[in-house]
Amino acid sequence: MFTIVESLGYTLFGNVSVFLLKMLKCDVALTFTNLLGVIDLNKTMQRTMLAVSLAAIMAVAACSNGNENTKSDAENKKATNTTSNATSNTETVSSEPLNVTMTLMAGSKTPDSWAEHTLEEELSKAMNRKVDVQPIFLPDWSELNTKINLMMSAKDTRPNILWTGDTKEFSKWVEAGIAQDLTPSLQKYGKDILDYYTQDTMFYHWDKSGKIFRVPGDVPEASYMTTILRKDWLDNLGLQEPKTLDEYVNVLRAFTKDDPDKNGKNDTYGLSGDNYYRSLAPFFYAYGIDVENFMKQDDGSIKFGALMPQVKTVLELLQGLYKEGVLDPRMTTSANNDDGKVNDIFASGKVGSFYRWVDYFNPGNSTTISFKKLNPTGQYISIDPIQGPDGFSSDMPDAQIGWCYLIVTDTIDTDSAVQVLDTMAKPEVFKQLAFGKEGEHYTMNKGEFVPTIQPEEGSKLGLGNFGWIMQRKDAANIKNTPEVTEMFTKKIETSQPMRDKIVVFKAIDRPEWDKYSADIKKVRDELFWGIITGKTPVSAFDDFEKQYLKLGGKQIDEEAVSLFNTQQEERTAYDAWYEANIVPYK
Amino acid sequence: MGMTRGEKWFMSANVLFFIVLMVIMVYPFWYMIMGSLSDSSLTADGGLFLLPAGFSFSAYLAVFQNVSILSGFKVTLITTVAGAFLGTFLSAAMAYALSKKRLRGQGIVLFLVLFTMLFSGGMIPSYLLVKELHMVDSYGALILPGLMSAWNIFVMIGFMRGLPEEVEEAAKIDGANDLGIFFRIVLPLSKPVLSTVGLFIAVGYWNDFFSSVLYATNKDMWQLQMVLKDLISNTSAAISQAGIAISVQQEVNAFTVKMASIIVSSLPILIVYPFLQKHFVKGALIGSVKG
Amino acid sequence: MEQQAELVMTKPTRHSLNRKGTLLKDIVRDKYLYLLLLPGLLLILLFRYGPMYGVVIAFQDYNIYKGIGGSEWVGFDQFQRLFRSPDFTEVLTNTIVISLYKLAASFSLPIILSLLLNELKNVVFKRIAQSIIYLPHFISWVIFSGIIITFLNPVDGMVNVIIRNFGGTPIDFLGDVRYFRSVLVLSDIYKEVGWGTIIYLAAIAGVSADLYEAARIDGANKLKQMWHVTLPAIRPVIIILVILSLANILEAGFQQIFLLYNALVYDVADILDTYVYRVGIQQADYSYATAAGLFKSAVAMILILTVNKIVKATGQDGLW
Repeated sequence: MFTIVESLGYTLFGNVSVFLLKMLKCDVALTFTNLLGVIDLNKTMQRTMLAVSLAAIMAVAACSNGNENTKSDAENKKATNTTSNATSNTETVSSEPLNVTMTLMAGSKTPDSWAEHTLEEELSKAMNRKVDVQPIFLPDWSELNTKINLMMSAKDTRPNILWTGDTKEFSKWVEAGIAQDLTPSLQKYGKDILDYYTQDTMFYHWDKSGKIFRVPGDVPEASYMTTILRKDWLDNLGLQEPKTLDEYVNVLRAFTKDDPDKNGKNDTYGLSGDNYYRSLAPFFYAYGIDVENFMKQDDGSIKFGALMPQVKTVLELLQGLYKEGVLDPRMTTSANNDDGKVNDIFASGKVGSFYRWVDYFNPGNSTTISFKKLNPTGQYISIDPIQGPDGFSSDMPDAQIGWCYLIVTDTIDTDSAVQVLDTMAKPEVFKQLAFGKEGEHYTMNKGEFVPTIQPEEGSKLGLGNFGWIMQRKDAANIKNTPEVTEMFTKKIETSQPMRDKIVVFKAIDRPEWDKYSADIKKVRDELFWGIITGKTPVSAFDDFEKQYLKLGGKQIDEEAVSLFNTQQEERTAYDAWYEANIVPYK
Repeated sequence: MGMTRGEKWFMSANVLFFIVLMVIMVYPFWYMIMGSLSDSSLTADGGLFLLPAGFSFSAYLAVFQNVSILSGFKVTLITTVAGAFLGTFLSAAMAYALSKKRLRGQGIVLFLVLFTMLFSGGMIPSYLLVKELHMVDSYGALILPGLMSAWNIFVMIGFMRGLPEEVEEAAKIDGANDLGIFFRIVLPLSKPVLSTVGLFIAVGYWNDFFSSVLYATNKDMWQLQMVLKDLISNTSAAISQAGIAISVQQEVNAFTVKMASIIVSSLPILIVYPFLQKHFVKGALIGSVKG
Repeated sequence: MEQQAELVMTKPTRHSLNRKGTLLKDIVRDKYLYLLLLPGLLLILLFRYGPMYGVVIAFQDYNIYKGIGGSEWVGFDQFQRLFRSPDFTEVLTNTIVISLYKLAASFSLPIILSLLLNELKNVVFKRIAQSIIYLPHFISWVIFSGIIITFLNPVDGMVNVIIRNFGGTPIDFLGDVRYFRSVLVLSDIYKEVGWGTIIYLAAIAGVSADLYEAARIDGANKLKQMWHVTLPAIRPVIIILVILSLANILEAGFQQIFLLYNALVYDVADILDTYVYRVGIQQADYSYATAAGLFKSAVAMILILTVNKIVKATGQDGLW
């Protein structure tokens, strides 16, 4: 039915749009006065009201047309600019000014900020030509991908450098020729980028045709979460730092039942967190399982982590702890996309342990400040990962792919774009854009970063706006105290055992996984949280594998195995390529 | 005019009921006001029920220091005022014409209107259209695509059908044409529904953020709610990459700042309704016209 | 004005005389009506029907960079995928159940509330009451769900603190299938009921004072006046609103549920939109999402046309 109406609408639309477009170009008010003049109107009031309203529509449209004219002038300039750049692609450095549009997601997104001008100065210096940076600020997370897809869909709205966290569209961009190969430009101008990202990281961004169509924007630390414990509660109860899972469980029990804060009330919990499985890492990881990923098995095969038999043991243990009141019941609902809720629980100081951010140990972390204010004598410590019955222990490793990345689109020459990015990756430039000028906006006190301006002023300056385009997580990230930097270094080692077990897929296209994983994850989450909260018996886990296979697990497994195998072959090819094409240019 | 005892009892119970209801309904706002006035490091204590935790105006200072809030206000104010007046007037004009059953093609047009309430071409074609019209980053793009709403038109038709036909007919005999009747009789008589639909449209534009997502690339053209959404969005959102949920940590705006920005941004639209209310009690007009 | 009104009573209506006129004649006669219709209609044709071709991506494997012309046609594959997904029945049932609860509440409660508001004699109090009960409408679900989670949490949420003080055991409202839908419906009522009264108050304002006078002379008390005068007078508006609300029959409130639900209540809370979001939109699968949207709209369309027909068959004014 709707097809008929739709086609009707469409033909009508054809005429109407032509009509309207004509309107936009001629003198709008005049047209309408003429139109109204034909009709005999004796009431001036009627005429003016109708005319005003009609003229208003047209005026709005016309004025927008006007806006567009001025803007498209700028764009024309940009376009000619780009072509001239493209023609002088090699060697000769163009002296013409360079306009660069880039999408930004981080920071306070302040337009026309100090940070932007600083970057322009640095770029002009480095590239020996005038550079005008035109940031395009992306909307909030929930609308982010919509905006990116719309902008990318047409060449005239496509940013020169695209920042994005979404990989779903990437292969379409490559296929459509929107994403350019950066290898030659990286060799020429990308030393800082090539130095900073490891061979392992770059593998995931390498195309097997021997090209690099994207570079990572922000690769997290090797491991950024840790087992956190209330030191003062341990001391109050005369307990030792737990090493094994049994000891840890006993400490959590004591934190729940023995009134660790000595306030005479039974108002504390052992463990809290959000409802992602990462919050339960001390339990799952002690058994060497990650329920979100495929895991390498002892026999060399791979298997979806949630199916491994040890999961049942962990769920049974968690069920008991939930029943005893050791697990905070808010864990099941308090995550819902709001980290703030868990931060509040952390700060309120009624829970003894978390598996959460290393960043909490930076004194400037707002949650930590809040905790200190509410619990002046409270003290959290970070402990080594908990050992399971087999002596296995590990922190949660980051896959080291980088969670966001950059595309140089077909609207700019890659040499210029890579020069821009490489300049932004230089430690001095990065530090300025992220933290400001030393002495003016912050001071360093025995290696500790002390801001001398209020956070609001920092936002106004646009500090952090350009973060994630090239986010350094090494010594240039001066916000970390020396102790925290040391913690991060130590985590590389403590997260290694699980890094060895988890399969990280290079492939972005996993059609079977995309097709079936949503249903499987739903069943898994219902089952696991049902068991933990005691609504489902532990024995229900026995049926999970059967359900998994029924819901498309078989296809997922087959796909995973084949991807895993090709990936290992690709890795060999990549290593040779890297040796030849990247190492000499580092 | 006396009231029976039952009526008196009913009146008192009714007043009491509304007092209770008002207390319940005002609470979330009170909660947000408390939140906005609290000391940001004390709000985590879970004790924020009746009074602020600590006391501080710093959240409001932070909000007003944000440059984008002010530009957002400007954009939203313009779209809201223009949208409300234009939308109400054009909907009323359409509704009046469509409320006449004698109008040729009335059925087809009504169906065309209803159809848009249920089916839409989706955002990509809409974006391409606006781009082809060279309207990206303009007020036109933020106002025009959503100006006509099927719901508003049908509600107005419903009201206009209820208008006393006799008055119109009399005016016609006096020589007034349809335009005259619409402007001099129908519009004044429709004040309650005009105010209602006007309010709905205004609130719709005030709360709109998606037009900015679609049609604005320049941050100076972001609507207030878009700025706000960005300000309070969950900055540590889980991002799915290669099927693995990982999380990014970024300094989150304090709870107090979120609350303050919501209070600041919603107050202007909240005071619109009380000003419109006088048109709702003037319904007695119809009676006087007829009498 | 008074004269005009009297004249009407004696003369036959004009359009009944012209009813048999030719098409052209009719159009010329109603030229001013068409003029009034035109600007709004143009906007609708341009901005609503202009992009309407986009619905065809439901029948494609749409690739935004190839455009509609270049994308592959897959017929009804996307629909089949939707209907054959293992949870389709559960999800559809949840959607309809939650949506019907909400529909029943959003239709009846605002009418009752506006009738009660209308009985308030003190004008200032009435206005204040009206302005306050519609406040929650302005709180976005993002914020409101945060408040709900805080207040209902089983540890220190106010509701459970009260339950505990009365000697009860805390209830995990958001993690319990027995309570979750009630939380959805009640919070929706709380947020929207005051807002819903506005339109009925406008309708009630249009009811002629004479009718009440006549009823009072006949000895009707307040309740009888409401029943025999107010309700019949606003019936056309009620009918239109109910028919229009059927458009949302398969929308059970995505944002609200998405922000409040969790693995423990998937059974009763997973609706079409949340499902399509997880499967389709997160994967940037526009075709799948469009197919689901088209299915919802088609169902709503059939329902609206049917109900409209039934309404007209009973002699009332429907949508047309």
